[in-house]
Amino acid sequence: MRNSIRTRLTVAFIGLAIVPLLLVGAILALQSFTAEEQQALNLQREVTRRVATEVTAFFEELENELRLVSQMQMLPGLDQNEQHSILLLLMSQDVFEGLVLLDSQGQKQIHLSRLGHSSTDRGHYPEADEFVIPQTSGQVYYSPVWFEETSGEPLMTIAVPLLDVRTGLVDDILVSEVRLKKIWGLIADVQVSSGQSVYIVDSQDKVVAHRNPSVVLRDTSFAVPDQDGIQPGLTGSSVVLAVDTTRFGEQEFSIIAEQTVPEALAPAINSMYVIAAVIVVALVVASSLGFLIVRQIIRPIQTMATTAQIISTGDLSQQVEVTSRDELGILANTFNSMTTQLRTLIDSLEQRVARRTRQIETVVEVSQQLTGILDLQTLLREVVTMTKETFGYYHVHIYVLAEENKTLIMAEGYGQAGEKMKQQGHQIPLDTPASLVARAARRREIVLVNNVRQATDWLPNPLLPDTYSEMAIPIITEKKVIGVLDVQSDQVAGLDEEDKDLLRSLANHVAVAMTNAQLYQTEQELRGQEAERAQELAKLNVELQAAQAELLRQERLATLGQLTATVSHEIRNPLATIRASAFTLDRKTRDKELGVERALDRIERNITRCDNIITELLDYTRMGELKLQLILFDDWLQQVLDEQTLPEGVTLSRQLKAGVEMRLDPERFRRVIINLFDNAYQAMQETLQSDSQKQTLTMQTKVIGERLKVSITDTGPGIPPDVLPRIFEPLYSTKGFGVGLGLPVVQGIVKQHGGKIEINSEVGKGTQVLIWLSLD
Amino acid sequence: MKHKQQLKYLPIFIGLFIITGLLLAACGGGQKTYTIGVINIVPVLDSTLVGFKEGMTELGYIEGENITYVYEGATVDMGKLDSVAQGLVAADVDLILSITTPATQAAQRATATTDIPVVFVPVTDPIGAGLVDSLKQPGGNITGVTFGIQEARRLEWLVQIVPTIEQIYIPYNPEDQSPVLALETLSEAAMKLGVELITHEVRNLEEVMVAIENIPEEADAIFLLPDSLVATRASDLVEAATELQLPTSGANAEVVKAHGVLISYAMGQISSGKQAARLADQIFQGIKPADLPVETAEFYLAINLKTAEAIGLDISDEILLQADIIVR
Repeated sequence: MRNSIRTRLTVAFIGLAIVPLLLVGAILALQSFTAEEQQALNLQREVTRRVATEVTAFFEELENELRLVSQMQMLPGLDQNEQHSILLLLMSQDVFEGLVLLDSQGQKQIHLSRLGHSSTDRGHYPEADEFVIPQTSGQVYYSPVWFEETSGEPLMTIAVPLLDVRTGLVDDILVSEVRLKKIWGLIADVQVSSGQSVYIVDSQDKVVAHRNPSVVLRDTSFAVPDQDGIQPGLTGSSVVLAVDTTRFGEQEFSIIAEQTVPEALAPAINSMYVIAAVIVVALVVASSLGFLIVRQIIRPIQTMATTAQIISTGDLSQQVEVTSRDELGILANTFNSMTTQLRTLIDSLEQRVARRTRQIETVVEVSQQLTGILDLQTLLREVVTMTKETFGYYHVHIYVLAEENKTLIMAEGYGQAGEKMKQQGHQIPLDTPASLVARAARRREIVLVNNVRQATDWLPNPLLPDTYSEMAIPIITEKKVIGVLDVQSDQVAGLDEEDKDLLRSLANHVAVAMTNAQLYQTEQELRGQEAERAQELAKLNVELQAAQAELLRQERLATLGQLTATVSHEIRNPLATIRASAFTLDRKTRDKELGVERALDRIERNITRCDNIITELLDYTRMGELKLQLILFDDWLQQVLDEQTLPEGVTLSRQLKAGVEMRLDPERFRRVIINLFDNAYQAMQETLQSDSQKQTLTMQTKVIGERLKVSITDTGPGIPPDVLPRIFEPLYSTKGFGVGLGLPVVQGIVKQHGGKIEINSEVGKGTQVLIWLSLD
Repeated sequence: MKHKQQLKYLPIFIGLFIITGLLLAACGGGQKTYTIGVINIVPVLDSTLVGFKEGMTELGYIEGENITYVYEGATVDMGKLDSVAQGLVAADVDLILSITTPATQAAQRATATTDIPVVFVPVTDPIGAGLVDSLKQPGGNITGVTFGIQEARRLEWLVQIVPTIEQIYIPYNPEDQSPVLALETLSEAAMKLGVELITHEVRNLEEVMVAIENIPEEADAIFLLPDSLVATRASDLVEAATELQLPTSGANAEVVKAHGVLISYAMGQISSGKQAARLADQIFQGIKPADLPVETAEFYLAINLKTAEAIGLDISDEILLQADIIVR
């Protein structure tokens, strides 16, 4: 990124730190360089000045020597041998290549050469400068530098005029060939620094003296520059060069000291290196620091940017790592805090949404459950229970508006408090001003009080001591308030808008459920009434049918009674006639052995049987009013039993333990006992015919509770199960004789006495007849 | 955490230090060492080597540190000169210092196919000996120190000290350039001075000994030319001369100092050795011998007072004042 903070910071850093550093470095280096250059130049100048002085001194000394030797010794006046000796002394100086003594005519008097052999004659002296100039001017002559042919060494001719002291005229001229090689020694002795060299250049630009003889011998030329400074030196390389000049007669020598730039400016270069090194180090340090600082600044920012990008995609769990305690650290901390807050906010929002969703789901769930409840009371109980337990309120109760008296009746409440209030018949008149519930019902809107203790229209309830905030939600259906749901919290401001929405929604469902329940209840009530009526109708119907049956039976019995009475009377009369006739026959035929006895017995027996049938019929039809008497039952029964004739093989077992008095019709009840006795006797007789074992008829009486139990148990063959249900049917008989009215008569008599008859029988074992009579 | 982050830059700093170290090491550089082979035929001229070494030391070449000399002593047997020179070439020396003309010629032959530079000291006539093209521009791989032919002046000094001299005995090797050239100059000077030269050719040591043993009676002095063959028997010659009360003139100051020759007017071996050292230094600095002019050695008057006394010779103070070297 070209415009990234990193780039801008880096550029700023370079601009602010590195550029000044470079500038300062450059200025310092330049200053140092200039100073060093000047110093180097001064050094060269000093050397040239020193050498110039020495060279001048050298020549002056030479000149003086020549003058002294010649003039003090009065050379011109001496003879040739003496002159020769003196000049030899001079020659021993070794500085002269040759010495020539000329007379005033320019004629050579003496010629000495350093190496002995005759030196080169440098011309015709009378015409040569070395003669002419001193001769004419009386001044010392300095020739241009010339080079010895074989050795290549530079020489210079110095001609000194020797004056006649008295005339002042030039007598002789001493011409000396001076070896400039001796000056080399002067130069060689000059202490030079590394890279420095000193040399002398003559008027012809020839190097005549140098520390290194080779330079001179090589016939080196050098054009002397006009001014000192850095310029090409003798070898062509750049040098710091200084020139000093010295003159001898017409001859000018340039004394040059030079030092190669790298050597001369070594301190400058060194300091530049040092400066450069310092700058480089400073640059490296500055760059590193800059890099680190920029990095330290940028990194957290980049991290924050990256984190922010990630956060923008929705991942709020991202946190910026806080590595410093500076502003960036604060920023990162703040950022993190903001993110955390945002996350918390979103989380809480999500939680709220989730809670809300859950609540809505709960409301729906509750509502669904409530909808299923059709019993209003159950419904209301469930409403308070579920609302309390699902949403965790302190207390919930519900009021139902009674239409008639405009009173809110507490229909259901949670827990013991609710139960108590219900029992106490807690109710609030609709116009009660100091009641949140009444107000909610009146205004048909939710009333919320965050702190009931501070509310003026709050009715404290001793059963709910911890109530702090309360919300009354009207239950409205079809624009009609049917009740109020009252929710309480044990915290100040424990109920909020969410609860409001939630409970409003719940109340709406409750309203529907209540309406449903009420409708259902009404319907159920209607249905119940209908069913009751139907039941009553059925009962009446049964009763009617029974009455009709009874009536029919009564009629039948009445008809039967009339018929029986008529028939009995009509039959009994012939029967009595037959019996009387039969008796007569019996009496008349008795003892006559006519063989009619058995027939007469059969007649008698059947007459009895017919008589019995008639009696039975009469008994059955004549169920008239009972003639009740108080009798001691056991005694009475004993008497009745005693009257009975037991057939052979049958034992009667009497277990009479009732010991009570009974109010009954003895005559009628006697018939019961006799009929049952007869039935048992007849049954056992059947058994006796097939089984020779002795049969027992057991007669028992016993008081059980409020009732008397009379049981007659035989050991007869028992009654088959298919027969048993029909035995009380009139005219049903299994016997070959009888009309089948025995047991119906027994049942009728027992019933008339308010008793009950039961028959238990098992085939092969016997039959037990139980008669239950109330002791009342 | 923070410490860790700083440690991360450690390699960068270490890298910088290493680079700096390498740069410093490169700047320091290693000092080059040189090997100089020496070839000489006259033991007495070893002092030239002494001067050379002194000069080299002054120029910063410390023996054993940055310079090594390969020298197994003077090769007295001239026949072995070439093999010695070839040996030096084979040893791949950086420079050959040849003392005397025959030694230089042997070095020239040995280095003909190489570029090993040769510095001679002294050679009387390097041009005549075919060593250099000219003194200013030697042209080949050889340069060095020569000396002007001062034999005339030396003769003058001898005559000046002993004015009675008329005949001078000169044994010399005609096969050596130096004495031959010197003799020419000397003959000319002798004529001027009016003295007669009795020359005696010698070609080997035996002949030298013979020459020494047969010093002619008429000889007033013995004159030693710059002759390496004769120089090897300088002591014997001086001994013989002293016996005969004859003054001697040597070709260099060393013979005055070491062997008791009466006088010499010649190049100083120490100083000429230093001159040669300066040339060697320039060669080492990269200047080709071809461009290095042959230098001329300075002459010094040396007088051995002991010898003078031994032969009963009185030397005036005037002359002694002019002497550069006096052996007392």
